[in-house]
Amino acid sequence: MNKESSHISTDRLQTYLDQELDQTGVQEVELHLNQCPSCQAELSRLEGVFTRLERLPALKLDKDISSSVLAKLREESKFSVGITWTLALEALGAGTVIGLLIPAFRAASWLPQMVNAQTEIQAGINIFLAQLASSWLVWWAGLRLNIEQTTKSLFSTHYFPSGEFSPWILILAAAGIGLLANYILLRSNPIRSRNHKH
Amino acid sequence: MAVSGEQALIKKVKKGDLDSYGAIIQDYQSSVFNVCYRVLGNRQEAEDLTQEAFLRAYHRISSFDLNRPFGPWMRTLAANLCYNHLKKARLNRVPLEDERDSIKDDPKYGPEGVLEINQEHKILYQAIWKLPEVQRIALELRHFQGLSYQEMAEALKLPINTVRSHLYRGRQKLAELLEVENE
Repeated sequence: MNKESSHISTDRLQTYLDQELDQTGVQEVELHLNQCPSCQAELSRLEGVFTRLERLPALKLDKDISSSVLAKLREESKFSVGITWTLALEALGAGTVIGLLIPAFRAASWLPQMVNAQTEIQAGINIFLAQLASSWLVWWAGLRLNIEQTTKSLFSTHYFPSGEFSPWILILAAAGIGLLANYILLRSNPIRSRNHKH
Repeated sequence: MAVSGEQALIKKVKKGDLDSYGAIIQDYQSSVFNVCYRVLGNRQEAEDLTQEAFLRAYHRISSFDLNRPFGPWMRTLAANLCYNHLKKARLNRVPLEDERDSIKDDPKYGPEGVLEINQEHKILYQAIWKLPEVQRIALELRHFQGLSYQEMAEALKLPINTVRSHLYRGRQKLAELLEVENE
């Protein structure tokens, strides 16, 4: 209550109408309202707003939107399956690329240059990298052997001649898979059609 | 819709049953549309945002508490969506009246009564749409969705005193606009 004017503030009257005052507050407001025509008038004015808002009728929605919402959800569901496959393929491609990069760098003679560095810290890093590279080289040699053996057993011929099978072929294949997957993904992207034109 | 029936449907929706969601949409589309229309002031935009609200609700259905009624949750989501839409699209928005928003001939009121009621609704809508967005949304949540101050603060992610202030100012402004129209 505003002590200076001895009237209840409009904000407090609104809190009263919203039934958000505690019991003591309600009693204070009602006690004052019983003896203050000015605050009664302000209360009536506010109640008028409440009443007019309550009288506002509900409008009719003259079309059923359920079918279009469900159609969009079904489209999104297909999209979701598509993106799962695409991500799986891309992860496979990326894994292949990462697996092949270190042997490829080794083939390009990058590591020997690093090993020749002068400082101790660099030497430590280089030793670590060299160990890492050697372990990958072992892994890569095994992988290449397996691929060659599998190819030979499948085609009974030297489709990939020994020594000519470059890791770049697999890197390019992975990139191709990635591009193809992205193309499929973008072609069937339903989000484009969901943009509103306001 | 009976609450238990609604709960059963929503349980199915949570498992991905789109047909059950279709039944839910049919029950609530009209009330959600009215929320969007009161906040946006444009029928076409309100229809678009009603659809968008149901799409979002489906994606968030896993967070919906089955022990609470679906309607208030859905309408609050729609009100918030419209409010954020208005904040983003800060254009010179002009509310568009539509003849579909008027009451047609109704024997209960007679031709003159219908005219008077339509005029009254038009004045009220125009006054609501003249309010700043945040005051409009505060009025919507309090008067049409029956949210408490605390619930409004949670829905709008604003401090309770700020929400209360927007509501009070909105009402005051609305009262002034309506008084001007009535003079």
